[in-house]
Amino acid sequence: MHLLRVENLSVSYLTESGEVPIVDRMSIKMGMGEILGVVGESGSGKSMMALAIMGLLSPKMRMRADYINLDGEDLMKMSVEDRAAYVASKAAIIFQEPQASLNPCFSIASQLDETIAFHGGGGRADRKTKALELLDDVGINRPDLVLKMYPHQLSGGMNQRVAIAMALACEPRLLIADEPTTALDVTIQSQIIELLVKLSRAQQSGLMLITHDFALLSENTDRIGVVYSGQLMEHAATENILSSPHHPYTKALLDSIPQLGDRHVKGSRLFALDGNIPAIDQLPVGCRLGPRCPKAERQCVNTPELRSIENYGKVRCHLASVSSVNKAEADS
Amino acid sequence: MIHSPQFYQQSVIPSTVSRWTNNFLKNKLALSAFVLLALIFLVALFAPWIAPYDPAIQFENTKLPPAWYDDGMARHLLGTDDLGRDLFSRLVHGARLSLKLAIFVVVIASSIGMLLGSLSALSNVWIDQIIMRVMDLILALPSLLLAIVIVALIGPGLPNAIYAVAIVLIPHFVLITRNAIKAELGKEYVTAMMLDGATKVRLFTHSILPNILPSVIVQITLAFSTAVLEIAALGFLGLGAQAPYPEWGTILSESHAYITIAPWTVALPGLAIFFTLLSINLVGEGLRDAMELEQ
Amino acid sequence: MTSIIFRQFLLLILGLFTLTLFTFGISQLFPDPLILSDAHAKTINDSLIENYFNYIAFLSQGEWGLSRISGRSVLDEFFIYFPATLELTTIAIIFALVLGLPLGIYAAENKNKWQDKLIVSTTLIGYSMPIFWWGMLLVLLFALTLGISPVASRIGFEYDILPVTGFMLIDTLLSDQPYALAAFQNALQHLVLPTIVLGTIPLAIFTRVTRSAMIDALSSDYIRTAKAKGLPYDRIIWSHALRNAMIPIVTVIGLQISVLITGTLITEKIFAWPGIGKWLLEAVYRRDLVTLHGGLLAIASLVIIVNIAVEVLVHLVNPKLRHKK
Repeated sequence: MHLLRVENLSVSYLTESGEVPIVDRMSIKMGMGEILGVVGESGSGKSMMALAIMGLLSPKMRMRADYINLDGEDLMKMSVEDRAAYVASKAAIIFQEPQASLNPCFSIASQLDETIAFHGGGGRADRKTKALELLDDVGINRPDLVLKMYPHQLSGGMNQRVAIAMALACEPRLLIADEPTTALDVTIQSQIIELLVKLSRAQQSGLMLITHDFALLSENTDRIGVVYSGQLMEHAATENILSSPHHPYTKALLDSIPQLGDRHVKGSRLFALDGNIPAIDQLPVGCRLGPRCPKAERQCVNTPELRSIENYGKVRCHLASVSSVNKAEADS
Repeated sequence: MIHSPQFYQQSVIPSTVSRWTNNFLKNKLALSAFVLLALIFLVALFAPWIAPYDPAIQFENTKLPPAWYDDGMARHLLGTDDLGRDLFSRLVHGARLSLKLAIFVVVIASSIGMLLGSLSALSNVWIDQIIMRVMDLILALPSLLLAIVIVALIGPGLPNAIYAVAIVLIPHFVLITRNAIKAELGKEYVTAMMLDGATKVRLFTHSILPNILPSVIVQITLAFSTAVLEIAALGFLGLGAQAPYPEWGTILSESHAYITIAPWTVALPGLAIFFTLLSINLVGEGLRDAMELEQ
Repeated sequence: MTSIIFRQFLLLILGLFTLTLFTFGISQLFPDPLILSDAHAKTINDSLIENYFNYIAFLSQGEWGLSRISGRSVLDEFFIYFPATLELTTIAIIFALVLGLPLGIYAAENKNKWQDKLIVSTTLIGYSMPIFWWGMLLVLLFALTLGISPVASRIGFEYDILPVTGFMLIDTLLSDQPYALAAFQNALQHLVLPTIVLGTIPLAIFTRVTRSAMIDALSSDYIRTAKAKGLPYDRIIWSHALRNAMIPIVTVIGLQISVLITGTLITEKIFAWPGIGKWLLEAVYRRDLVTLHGGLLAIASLVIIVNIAVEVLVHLVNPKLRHKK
């Protein structure tokens, strides 16, 4: 039984000159209580995928999917209203800018209270107790004080904790965290990630952690999806990806992480891919990584499909079937 | 892209001005308003050649309806007013008068306003405070009331009305210039330019001026429409251009009494004011959108 | 909060001070000296500063001079004419708000669709309407041609209403005449056209401001959060978005006071409305500088006070400003 199964999810942006695809036929699976990391550069479409699942795309966006199965029900078969209500009861999302994602005109108390009232409710006093509990759960020291405050009076880290508390108030089976730590100080980042992982483990709820920072995912996730230019490039268990990445892009990402301490090799240089992520209206023919790929061959002008590799996961690369990229590297 | 062959599409980044022009040309409504405004300007410019008669000449046929009515006459396209003057000629000359006055007002108000605004932003706190308090006061006074008081003090008539309207328009220019300069001076690239040893003049022409230009241009269109309206309003109240002048507001005020007998003498001058204001406002709106300014 | 009120109070004093400096300056610059009363005349001497303080002293005692036209006290006359203007402007602003806010919200909800485009272009037409012409057109159509509206003044001359409060709608209801209710209806009818004329430009401005403030609010992250929480659509619009949009809207409402007074001068002339506008215009035509001085001082003080009050209100609706020390 899967918590989330997404099949062929596409998102496009409507312009005067037609639709511009942003997410291209993305398929993702998450088990119950699983922690999935989604990694990719900014603009790769990973956030759009999350918004599409939550039904939060702006009116200028269009989405299509064969199905989006969330906790046993297919979202694509529901009406807009039903879908919004169902998603809100099963899933919650927190965003990159904690300050901006809380309403500046309402106190923390009223925003939390509203959410609790809408999800389960209870009497006034019960809701207050629940709010205090939730703030305590997310590691806020003086919940009674914070409750009276407004978002602008709190730091970014505190606001993100409040946002998490508010997401938890929905009692979600799936929590999506869209770059939850990008806007925060480095010291706060790991605290927030640890908190998210701890809460997910404690409540047996799924966590989708979206980030551009591979380092954040390595220790905390069960599986990782690598997104490039709107496509899922690789989707496999975390240890598989870390030990033997099959896709050149994943390898490039891993090689660009600085190694500190014992693992640091003196005089070694970080790896960087040439060029930039292509503009969405100027995609290359064939493999989207093609022009930047250090391993590119003649066959890469043909569009690769996402294929299963035994005992590994799924990879979108022609070269992956011949031999793993890592092996090829070792041979040379 | 060093290693990849250049067969992928290359993008050309347009200059700021050409991007603005493109944005503006894409906006059909603003573009047609611009054409209309240009036409009104042409009419104003060539008024003596376009108008068939002198605006002050009185004909025998008074209160003649426009030519498309049964009792209208072809030689008076828009009919005549209560004194038998050709309405078309009066409106055409009115366009010349209204636009001339409005341009004059805006030129005075914008140059004084920008000067005071720069002074306020660049000099010490005391001068800044004095200028700002005076501007606050002018802003607190309802514009037409202030104009009326000024006219009452120095006497009714066209030149006095013009000064009154100009004074009323100054504060907006002061505020825009002052705030924009202050905001620009606080930005890091300006600090960087200063550290690079840029002179004050260079700083002003290369960093501050290009950045305040869009808001000033939009403010000029706003002020222009306000000027046309206020001059006409003063004319309507009998405090601006006086009776024989073919000023649009004055014409309306004269024909107010004949609204039931000769409704076209009320409808047509108003229509002229309305379309002028509408086209200015649409162009202003289009410029603001094209230059990507916040509302 | 107290510090904010204190600060705004200082600004109010400062504003009134600059205003009196201005009016005092005018009275000094022009050959026709402004004499507020016989007692005031005796205190006038060569020292400007002393004269200014005497001027302020007499103003604060309510001695604002006597009208050159009627010979009555200017301050008394102001309070006779003011209720008519206040009644009209209040109703006009309510008209503009009641129509403008929902229209703006509706346009924002349908951003870039035909409903939005229709509303935006209509507001632009309203905004470009010279209200003296607009007033005449409405009179021509509804009063003179169709005959379904009165042409001018506050109430039909057949009704004899004793001014108690000065507000016609209240006075008609207070009246013990048998026709009190009919008089109330009649007064309402007289209000319709002037309200539309005076309210058109504020209506256009409110609609536009509400629209752009709502569009800003609706595209913000916190609305996305509210949607994700599964809040009902109405609650998102009317509570979360509108609460934030109110901040710019309140600011703009404050700015309309000035626009309304300007509009009053014209509207009252068209509809022969016995208010401040008519009173001041009469003073201008007959060069009654004492009345003009009083009118200018009273109206400008009023605008300054309202602006300060709105500023306090803006601080109240915006938590970010409220907590600033």
